[in-house]
Amino acid sequence: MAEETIIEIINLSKTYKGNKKPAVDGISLKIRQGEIFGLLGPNGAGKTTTISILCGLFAPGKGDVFIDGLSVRKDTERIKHIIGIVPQDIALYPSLTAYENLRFIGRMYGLKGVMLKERINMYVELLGLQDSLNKKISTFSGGMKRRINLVAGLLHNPKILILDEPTVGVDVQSRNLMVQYLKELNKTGTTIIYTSHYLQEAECLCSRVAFMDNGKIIIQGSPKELISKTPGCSNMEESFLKLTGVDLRD
Amino acid sequence: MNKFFASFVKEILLLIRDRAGMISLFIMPMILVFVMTVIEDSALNSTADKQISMLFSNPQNDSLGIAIKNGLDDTKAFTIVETVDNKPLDKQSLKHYVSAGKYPVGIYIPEGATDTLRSNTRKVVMKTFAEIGLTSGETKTYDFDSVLIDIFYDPAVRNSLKALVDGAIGQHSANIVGKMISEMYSEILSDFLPGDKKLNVNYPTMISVNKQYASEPGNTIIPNSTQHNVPSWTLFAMFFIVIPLASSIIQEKDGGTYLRLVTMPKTYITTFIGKMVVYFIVCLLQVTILFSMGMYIIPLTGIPGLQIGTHFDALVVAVLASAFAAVAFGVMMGSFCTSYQQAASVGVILIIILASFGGLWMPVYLMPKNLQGMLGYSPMNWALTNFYDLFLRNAQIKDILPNVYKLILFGIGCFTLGLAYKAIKKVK
Repeated sequence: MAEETIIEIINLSKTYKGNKKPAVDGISLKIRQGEIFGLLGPNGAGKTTTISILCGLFAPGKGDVFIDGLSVRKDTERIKHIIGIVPQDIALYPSLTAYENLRFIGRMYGLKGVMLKERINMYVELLGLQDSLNKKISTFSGGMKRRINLVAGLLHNPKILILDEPTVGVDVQSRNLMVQYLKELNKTGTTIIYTSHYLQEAECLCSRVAFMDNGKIIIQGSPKELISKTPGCSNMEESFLKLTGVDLRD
Repeated sequence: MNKFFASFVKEILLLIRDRAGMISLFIMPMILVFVMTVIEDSALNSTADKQISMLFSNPQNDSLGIAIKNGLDDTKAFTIVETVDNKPLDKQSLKHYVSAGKYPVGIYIPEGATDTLRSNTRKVVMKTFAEIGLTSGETKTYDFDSVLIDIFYDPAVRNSLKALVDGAIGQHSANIVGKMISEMYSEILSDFLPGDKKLNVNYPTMISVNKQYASEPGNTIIPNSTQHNVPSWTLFAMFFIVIPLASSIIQEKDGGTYLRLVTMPKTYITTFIGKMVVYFIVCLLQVTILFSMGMYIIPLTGIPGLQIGTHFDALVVAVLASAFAAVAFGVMMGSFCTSYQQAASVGVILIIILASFGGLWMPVYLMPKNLQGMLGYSPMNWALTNFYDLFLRNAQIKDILPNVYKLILFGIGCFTLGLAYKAIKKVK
């Protein structure tokens, strides 16, 4: 695994207007190129806000984030070429076919012609959707929607792939295929940032994870390190509950 | 250009696959324009005479009643009904039918109306002659028994119909009284003439009315229901794109595609413009379809067809400016509203308010003075005034430019506000 830092978060804070409490409260983090980094935490921990700032969706309140040496404050447009995002929602048009959606997204990244077609065909085949390419998204099963959502984030071959709970509500087979594919993708050098509530999945997939709670990073390291740092815990879920508590966060 | 084209194609596909949206953008406006044109044409009697059924009771066949009835008949605005179920009407039954809503208006001529009127007339004339010493009658006071004609109105009847009936009765009563007075003068003055000579005072028609539309030479366009309704309701339909356009923007926000779009490089504005262009084309198609319907389909029903004047270049400018204003308004609504329900309810209410102030629902001159002042602030009024100027006054480009500028400024304002609001929300 390369040791070069591709994402550096420095003292990042974000408070939404009307809220006194910050959603993200002075976090600092380094993510190395080629790793699968899990950002885990209960609801309202600040994961999605952190990811949104990485994607350029909104500006940081305080601090800065450098992605491949570019500041999210100054180089937002250049950063957008480097990252691919797989949002929690199925961010596709239900009344368009999978091909029409992917063709639109590919063109938005500057792809066209034969290259675009080849890229679409390659990814839909890798994720087992080649037979559904000309079907409307509205007719897809939950698992198929999640997989095509992943394809949409990959079309422009991003250096960094950000996934926000990509396997919510999918069957075991689809989840397994996606996890296996993400591992394969990571082997080609793509850095993956991943949030999930499925801690077993994160433990199996991620090389390093950070637990977030109340806008802060409470612990980070490899899954094994985190388990070993929380005495009496035999897996990441037990560690997570011990560190973040059992109180409901809704 | 590749991005714009991709966005344009995507929007077209989304639109044509939204059947409900297509119906609300094209089919419903066609029905609206057609129905409103036909209804108003009937109300204005431009194609069919005697539209309003009126009960008329004149139990004694009184000559005053007959004269009033003939006068009303001559207006061709009323169908006079004197029996219901083959039964003649008395005052009670007439009032009953009107109050039950079966007829909008009923007129009852009292017994002895002509005799009373004649007696009153004689008294007036005699008093006049006595005052100047021509006769030796009473010069001070006379008791007048006023002739009381009952007019019953259905409570649901509009004031315009009341004004029409009141005016018709007043006019014919005045004519009859005038005629009686002149006959009376002739009769009395004849007594002062030698021999058997009879004075016959006749008045010719001293005032004639020449009704005409104040058109410029060469303009042969005649105002009618089609000329008014087709542009009005076409504009209404154009501004109604606020709902599908705002919904499309909101659905992108809700569905997560907005998140994907804003995380793509230099994409969001391009896709936004692509969306605007598609809806702009929708507006142009609406105008083409609805105006064509006015020109070629409405005449098949016997109603005069739409005449678009002779300055096609000016019409194009007016349509482009109106479409731009409508689309920009939709963009602003889509930016401000946070849910489809909000866009649908607020959008519809705003359009109806703008249409009311724009003179789409009722003619401007019928509005209260203080509301007329607000017309200057409705983009629908600017657009409608342009169409009226073109269709009824055969205006040229230079004549419509002030309102065209207003529409463009309105559009730029809406577009800027919408994008600024989005930018502020993003920073927050």
